[in-house]
Amino acid sequence: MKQLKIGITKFPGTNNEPDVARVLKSLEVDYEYIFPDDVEIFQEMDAIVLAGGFSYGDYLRPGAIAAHSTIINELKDFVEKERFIIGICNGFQILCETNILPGILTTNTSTRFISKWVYIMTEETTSPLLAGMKDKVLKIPIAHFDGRYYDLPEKIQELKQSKLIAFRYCDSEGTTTQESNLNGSLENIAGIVNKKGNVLGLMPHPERASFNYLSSEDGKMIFTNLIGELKC
Amino acid sequence: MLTVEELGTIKADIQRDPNKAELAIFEAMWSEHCSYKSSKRWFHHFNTEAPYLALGIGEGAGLIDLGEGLLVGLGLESHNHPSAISPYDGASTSVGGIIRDILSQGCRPIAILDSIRFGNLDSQHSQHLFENVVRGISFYGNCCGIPTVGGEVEFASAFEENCLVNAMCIGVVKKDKFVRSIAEKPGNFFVLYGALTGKDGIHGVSFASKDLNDKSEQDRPAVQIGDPLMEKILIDTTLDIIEKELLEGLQDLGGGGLSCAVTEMCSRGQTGAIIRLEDVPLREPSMKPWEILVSESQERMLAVVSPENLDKVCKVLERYDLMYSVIGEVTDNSHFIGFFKGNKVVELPINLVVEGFPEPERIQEEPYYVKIQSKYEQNPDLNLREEIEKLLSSPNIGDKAWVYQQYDQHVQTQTVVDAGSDSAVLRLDNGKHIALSLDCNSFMVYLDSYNGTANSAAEAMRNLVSVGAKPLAIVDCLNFGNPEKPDSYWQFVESVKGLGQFSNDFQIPIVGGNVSFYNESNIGGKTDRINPAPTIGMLGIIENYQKIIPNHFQKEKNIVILIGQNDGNLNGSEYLRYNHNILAGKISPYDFDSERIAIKIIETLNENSYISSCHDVSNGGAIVSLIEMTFQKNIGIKLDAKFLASEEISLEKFLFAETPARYFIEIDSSKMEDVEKILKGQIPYTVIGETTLEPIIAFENFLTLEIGKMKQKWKNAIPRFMEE
Amino acid sequence: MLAGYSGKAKNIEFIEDEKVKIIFRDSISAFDGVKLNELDNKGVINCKISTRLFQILHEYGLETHFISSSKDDEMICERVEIIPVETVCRNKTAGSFCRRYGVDQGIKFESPIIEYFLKNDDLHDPLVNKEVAVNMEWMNSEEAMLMEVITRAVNHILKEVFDLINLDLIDFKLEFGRNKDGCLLIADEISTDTMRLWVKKTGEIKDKDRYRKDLGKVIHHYEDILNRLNTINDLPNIETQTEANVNINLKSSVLDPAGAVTQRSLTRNQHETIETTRLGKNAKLIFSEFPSFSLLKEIKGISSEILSNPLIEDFEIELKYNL
Repeated sequence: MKQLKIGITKFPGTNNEPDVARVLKSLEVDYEYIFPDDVEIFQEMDAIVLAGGFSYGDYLRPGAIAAHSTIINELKDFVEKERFIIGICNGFQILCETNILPGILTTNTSTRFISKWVYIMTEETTSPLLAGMKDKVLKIPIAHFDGRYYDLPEKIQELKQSKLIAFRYCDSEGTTTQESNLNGSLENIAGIVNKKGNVLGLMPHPERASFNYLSSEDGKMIFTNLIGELKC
Repeated sequence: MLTVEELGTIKADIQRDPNKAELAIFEAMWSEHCSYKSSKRWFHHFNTEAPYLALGIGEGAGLIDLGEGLLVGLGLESHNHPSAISPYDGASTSVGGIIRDILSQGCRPIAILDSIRFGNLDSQHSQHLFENVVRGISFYGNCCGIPTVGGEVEFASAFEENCLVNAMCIGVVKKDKFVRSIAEKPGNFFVLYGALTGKDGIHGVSFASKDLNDKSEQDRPAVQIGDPLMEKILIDTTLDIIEKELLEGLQDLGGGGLSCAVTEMCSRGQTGAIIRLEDVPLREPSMKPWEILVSESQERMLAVVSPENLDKVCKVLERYDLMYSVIGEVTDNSHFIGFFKGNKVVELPINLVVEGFPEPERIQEEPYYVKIQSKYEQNPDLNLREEIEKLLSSPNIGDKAWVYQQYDQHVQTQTVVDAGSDSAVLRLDNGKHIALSLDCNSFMVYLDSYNGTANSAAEAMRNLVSVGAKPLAIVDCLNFGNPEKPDSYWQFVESVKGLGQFSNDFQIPIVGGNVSFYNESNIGGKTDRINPAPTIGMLGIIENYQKIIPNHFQKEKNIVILIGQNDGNLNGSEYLRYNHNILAGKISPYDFDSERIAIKIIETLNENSYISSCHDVSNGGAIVSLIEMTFQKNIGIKLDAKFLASEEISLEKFLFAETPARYFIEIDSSKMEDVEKILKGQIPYTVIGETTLEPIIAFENFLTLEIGKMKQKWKNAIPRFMEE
Repeated sequence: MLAGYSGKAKNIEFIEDEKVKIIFRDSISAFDGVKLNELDNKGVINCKISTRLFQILHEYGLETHFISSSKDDEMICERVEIIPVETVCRNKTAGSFCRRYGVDQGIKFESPIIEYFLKNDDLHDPLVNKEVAVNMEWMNSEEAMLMEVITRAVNHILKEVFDLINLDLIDFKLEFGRNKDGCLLIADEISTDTMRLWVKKTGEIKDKDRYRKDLGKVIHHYEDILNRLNTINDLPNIETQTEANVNINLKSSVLDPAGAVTQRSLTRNQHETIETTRLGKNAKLIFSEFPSFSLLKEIKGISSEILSNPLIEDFEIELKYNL
């Protein structure tokens, strides 16, 4: 069987790519960093992880400049072909800026950066990336300035009806409270999937909750699900 | 401005009048910030040696050999003056500067800590500075992808006009890859890379070497603007070049700009340099030679590259799309020669520039206030609950989450213990753990600069010990007032002696540091001087990660023991200062023996895995430490009051005195016998109570504090000023 | 059959492919046709000057209706709907400006002045302002903005070009039209009939004022201008001063936390009458090309696709020519 290889995007200012790589390495999966004009190797990847950080300094709007780089056409092609893409934090922002996922992530209501361990509830979706995770409460860190999920009311309604909300901020018991919604996202949305279920975007950092020496390993399941899907 | 004496020294040496460009170089290089002219004569007090030191004090970062071919680099720098004038940019560039210091030795930056000090938070001005300094640090550090894992915040009226911003950075590099900031071999090239050179920060070092006054706002151009995206690219590029082993030397452009980087590297290598200033890539084309020489534009590095490697270095720089230019060569004539469009504009002996300054006469005089006794008398109608609640709501005692939650603490996925504990703990790739702390109690240093400094260092050390780490190295940032004033200079000298004593006693080397004088302002005729603030950063190692000790109570029915002796001295305590507005009197002296024994005891207990949790006693005294231990898991404690107070030490003194060399430990009751065997006869200790599931702190039958309520006071200490 | 019409000095014929043929006659008139004459060869000279100036503007990337010159007195142009408002750009006081405000002629303006006139002979081409013109729907506000910056740019170019041949450009008028796609183009003619040119230093008049003021030798001077223009081989290198400010604001329905924080701070500082504070962004774009309808279209594209996110933000474009 062919060795799996997962592409991790590396824009100028992206800084979580080694963290994602560390998790993939621990799961014995090969990876490669994809730079903004690495068009040739893009389609050779079995899946793409858009790593977090501050692509292009978050200047203009988070993800906006990356969303206009050369590889984005390749990324859109990837979506069309129903191959797997996970966008984490800045990666999620890029997915929204490219309209691969709906909505936008805008400034936290506190107008401050928030770095904190939080809890998120896994909602029911049909995405294989979240298989077996329904109703699981994950302990996971967030670290963002622009994480407030926003879209028009009818679009939010559509997300709910089509079961596209992947994660919601909640308390340690799994209740989605106002207090646990630190950035002010509509409907406590922390992550969403597309209709085909091959694209997942989320603000919290599963790669920062994937090792026993950190406070939690709850994020690892997303990566093991991805690898499991790629292998079958 | 150069003094008459300094100008005379220059003329005598070069036998002519220096030109404008040369004057600009001297003004920068002989400023207090670059030259340490008032401070260096005292550094012999410091212990700077240790067998595991790979690179000692004097360059961007000190390097500690952790074994297995891995070095840890650390540095600490101030950026006080720029932050007072332009808090956001000043603070963000402080982070940028210290990152590049670490990078200069080839280290990959892995963590940042910050020590910041402001006036009292009821002042709008202090709120503004605090808000924007934190934002600046957050913006820059987060964007660079380096976790900010800890630090300290202190509020005192003495910092109202002069806030302090000190940033510490830690990095790692493989032993066979590290580089020095040195230009050794004639014929090697100087390659300048990174951001363009602009007029920003011109005379930044001389700005930092004088008092702030009514006109300081007009000096704004001296404040540089940071670009963390450029810094991130600079880091990625430099690490790539380091990995390929292409450099002979590397230094960042900080205070004093290009002229400082060139002359310092040549001085270390005992070489000279020819620099073509027209080859420096400029942001503003009309810049004059002297401006190019001393510009402090951020995000620039100067590399020394051999002719064989030049192409390879350029190739890497081009791949990262980074601006660079070969601006000159290393020579063997020990002079700094600068050309601009064919004209020689600088010709100076390197030695003269780097160390030829006359050391100014400085006078010391003990400040008057040192002799003033505290007038505080024991309070007969002590309302304990009120006093404790008030103390918990002091911004100096209260929760600092408002600050550190704005910092990305978890990027790089190595942060095992977050900010908010005694020390941050990071896991290195080789599986070892390091602990980091950054501390200073400026009130104690104010009252007694010698003992206060030594005790601050001891506090940084206790913070490492409480998480199970063994201290390895110190970096310091000595923030003081005007050295030309005798009382201020006295504070400085005493402080250096105190830190020197500590470093020699414990055989912990000082591997890097910075002196920031002139933290004094003269506004509207009123002189304000900071509390002397020697901030001390310390690195410790935890060989076995299973020996990391939590700072919070772990389970019910455990026994809580106070290690160490309370001396009942309330002077300098946050209790007297915040609750009773008294800052006077003799503080508890630094006591090497009690500190040493206490550490030994904690280490022994931890080796035997007897400790469930540990927290040292510091700001706020015993009661605050105890209450803090209950917060994380809501595990309470039932105090055995008969052990608390005695004939000599009243309950008030027991609870609020900040006597050094003390720790609380939590012990499983089954281990009590073994633990007492270790303690008995070795160290004074008190069994003070037992942990409970009920979330209260119970003083037998006379007082019960609810953890929830205490936590609310503590959590709200800063937000009550900053939110709404 | 394709129709056409006849103006005071030109005949316009509609030809195929949305084009027109403009034939320059030898007629010359002034004071709304009160004074009227025929001058030999005037049609050919004016057509050639106009052709040359349109070509020069094309060299600098400006968009005009001019396509080619078919005969000595004929131009082929794009067919446009003429905007009933013309712009006048003045570098020094002269003509109607002096009469209107009672000032001396030849006073230099600190920076060029733009005026708008309604093209209506019966009303003697009255001065109008932008607000009136936009409200009367003679042009839209975007056209008004473009007409101003294009007129300034044309002034910049023509001034430099005439400078080469020792002539001082005092003022000129421009007409604009929209083509079938709605593109705004410089239209009509640009000639000695539509501008004032004085010889540098001497101040000798070289333009239609010779006819208006009966100074004589009209054709001689017109021809001299043409000859001078024909001596120019290399056009001057002109640094364009085109700038766009794009103001990006959060839509009013979207929460603006930073604005809310600022608002609270303003209220705290006793500025109670400030009801709402919204913070936006501004992007200043400085161009190396001259302003045109296509450029504005490009800026609109950038603004909606990159500079703002239409889901939460609106934008406004302000095009400027800093001269």
